[in-house]
Amino acid sequence: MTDKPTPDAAALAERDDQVRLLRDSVIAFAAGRLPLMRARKLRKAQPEFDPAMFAELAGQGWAGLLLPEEFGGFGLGFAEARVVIEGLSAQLAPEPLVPVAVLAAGALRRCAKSARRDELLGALAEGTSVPAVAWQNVAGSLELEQPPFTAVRAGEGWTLEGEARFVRPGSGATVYLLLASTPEGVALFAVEPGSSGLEMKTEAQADGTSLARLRATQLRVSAAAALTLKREDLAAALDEALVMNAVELLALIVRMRAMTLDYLKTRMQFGKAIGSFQSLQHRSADMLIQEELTRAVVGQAVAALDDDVPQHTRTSMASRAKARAGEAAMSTAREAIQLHGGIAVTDEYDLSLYVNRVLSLAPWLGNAQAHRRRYVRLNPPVAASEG
Amino acid sequence: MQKTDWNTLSDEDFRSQVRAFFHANYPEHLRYPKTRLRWVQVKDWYLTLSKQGWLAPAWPQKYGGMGLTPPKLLIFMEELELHGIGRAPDMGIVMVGPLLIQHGTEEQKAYYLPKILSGEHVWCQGDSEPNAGSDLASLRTEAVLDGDHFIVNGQKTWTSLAQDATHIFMLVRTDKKAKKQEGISFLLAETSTPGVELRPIRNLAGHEEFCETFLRDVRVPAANIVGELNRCWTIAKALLSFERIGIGGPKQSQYAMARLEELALQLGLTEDQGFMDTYARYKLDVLDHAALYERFVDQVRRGETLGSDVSMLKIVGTENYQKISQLLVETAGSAGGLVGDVDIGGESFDWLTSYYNARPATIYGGSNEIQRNILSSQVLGLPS
Ligand SMILES: Cc1cc2nc3c(=O)[nH]c(=O)nc-3n(C[C@H](O)[C@H](O)[C@H](O)COP(=O)(O)OP(=O)(O)OC[C@H]3O[C@@H](n4cnc5c(N)ncnc54)[C@H](O)[C@@H]3O)c2cc1C
Repeated sequence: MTDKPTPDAAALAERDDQVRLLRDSVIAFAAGRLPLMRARKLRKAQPEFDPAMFAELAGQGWAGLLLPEEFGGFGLGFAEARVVIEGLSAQLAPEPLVPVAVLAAGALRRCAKSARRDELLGALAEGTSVPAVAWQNVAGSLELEQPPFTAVRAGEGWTLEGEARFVRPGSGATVYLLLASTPEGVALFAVEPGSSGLEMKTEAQADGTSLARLRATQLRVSAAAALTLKREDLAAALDEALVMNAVELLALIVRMRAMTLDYLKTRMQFGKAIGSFQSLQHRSADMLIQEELTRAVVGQAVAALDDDVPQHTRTSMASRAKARAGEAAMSTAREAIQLHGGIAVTDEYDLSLYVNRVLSLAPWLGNAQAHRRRYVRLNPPVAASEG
Repeated sequence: MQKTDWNTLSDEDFRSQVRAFFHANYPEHLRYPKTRLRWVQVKDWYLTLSKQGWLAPAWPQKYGGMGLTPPKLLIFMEELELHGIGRAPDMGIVMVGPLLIQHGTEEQKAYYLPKILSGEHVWCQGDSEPNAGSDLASLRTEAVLDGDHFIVNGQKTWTSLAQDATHIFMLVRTDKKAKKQEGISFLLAETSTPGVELRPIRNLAGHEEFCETFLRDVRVPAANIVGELNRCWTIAKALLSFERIGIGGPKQSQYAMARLEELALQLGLTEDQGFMDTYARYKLDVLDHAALYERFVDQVRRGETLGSDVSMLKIVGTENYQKISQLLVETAGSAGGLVGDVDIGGESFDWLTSYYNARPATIYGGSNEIQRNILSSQVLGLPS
């Protein structure tokens, strides 16, 4: 039992209503503006999403949803962010809402106040800037102890060396936030694509989007570009991105399972619907269980973010959510393919779009295995207390 | 063409000759291909084998095969695998040839077999239809006799590499009134016959590996029926169970396992107990599957026919393959979603191709659910 004051019931109910209203409007928007055909056509496009659509999403208030009003945001919480992200993910929108509106926004708003930071946050909320955080080193470590870049002072400004990988969005970012160690700690360095000394490569993903690999060689940046923050603040933003990534995966799970269930009811072989074969019935039941486990842990994780629980709890919840969602999404994809038979391995059947999306999103920010390990590292077994 | 009786050589001599030939003649860039080779890529090699008289190791010598005894045949296949030789469009060699040799007329054998060996005819398999997958016997493509021709109407699907084929062997319904399994015949047709229309289908990985095959008023000579009219279901089933031992082998999992080992070494995972535990489990799964495979192969060596229990080979082999490809993706960590050749510390790895190839393995050749049905009803005798 916590001794936190319980929020009053009326306020809770009001929030629930707001979230429901928002969900309805997201679903309506997605149905009208984000048909699957659009996602299908945008595969392998350059950039990998439609900047006009990104601006439109920002116009709906969804880029700055989590940002305080002083930056042109709406100051809403993660329950609200969840319904927006679920709606877009279900329609496979490639617009990088989680990388930008959650990860980059979460990191930037925790940076020490500066003109450059405020300008970036304002532009992010407006949808005119698409920042991508380059925080992971080439080995793909989840730890922030070894940032990908090293910054040393050079005159008024800085010189950066190093290499980052797995940066989203892989194309279409208007600014990169390079995580570098500095003599004082760490900082994000805001660097425009095409800056001399910054070499960029994109690596193609299964779903037609990409990840960027960035190498800095004698990269000169101004003093103003250095946005300082604490490691734990960046960790907090990463936890938020992880939970919202789990939300994206949950939406994919829901869709794949629904498609499979429909198919089992309508596909006839041996004179009956294939859903009447018991082996397939049991596998569908197991798919349902994985979906519900995911929904349960994601629900708790979203609430933990909104309730501002202690860092350790938050990080543990984020890992739990990603571990379950990543695993369940991968297994749902496999089962959905098997239960469909041949049609599932064709490009023209929409299930393949979902499968390829799962293959791309599940490893991002660390796959299920990495997060299971992180969870038990944070929560090692302890001897049962006596008495 | 050499006319050696390969069977008189010692196993060691035969193996070293085969190996030397593959080393000398198989194109280096086609070793261990990641996806099914297309005819244009592999035609030269096909013709090289043809000239050597090695295209059809299992066919009797009198039909231009090598006439290998089962032990020699196994050596030949082992060497193919060891050298990483890709599968050429081989439906003519592994399915049509044996079918004709057993059930074809003398005219059919004399006409078709040499053209398979010369590479003039490339075959594809037209069994499955949109509504006849697992329930193949419900197929509806019909062939109606009109003088000395059949008029064929219907649709086949998932026809692998039909776009490269000159010919298709199909199961067609020749008696609509008969019971489901009766009234089915084998029919051979040219894909260039008017009324045959192919539409390539892109797969999950974006490659055009199979086709939809539309058949509208296609006129096929009545003489192109193989075996007895309306009585082909049993032949078709025998052919499919033959396919089953082919796809029940350990080759694919061994290949994926080798890739996993390379990746693990590159990432320095041999000290990682968690990885090593799973790796060890899968490693033994693959070895034990190979042992089970040997058991069935011994049966073939002794000249026995295989029973329904051969289904277990396909189940174990394909599911091993899937687990390993899954572990490959997992081991790749944050890079797991990257397609094609991915750089890991200066070496390149491609796990998603393994992953994509492994998915349909539990679907084609009789899905693993169907194989389990066979085991439980035909081997265990459980009531249906
Ligand atoms: C890559 C690939 C290549 C292929 N190449 C060829 C080819 O060259 N020529 C050709 O003719 N065909 C080919 N096929 C077709 C293949 O043989 C069929 O896909 C297969 O028979 C399954 O049929 P289906 O896809 O219609 O699935 P369905 O039969 O519709 O099966 C859907 C699901 O229901 C399950 N199911 C069906 N019946 C039962 C039951 N009684 N009990 C329990 N579960 C059941 C299945 O296991 C599966 O999970 C190919 C398929 C693939 C994927």
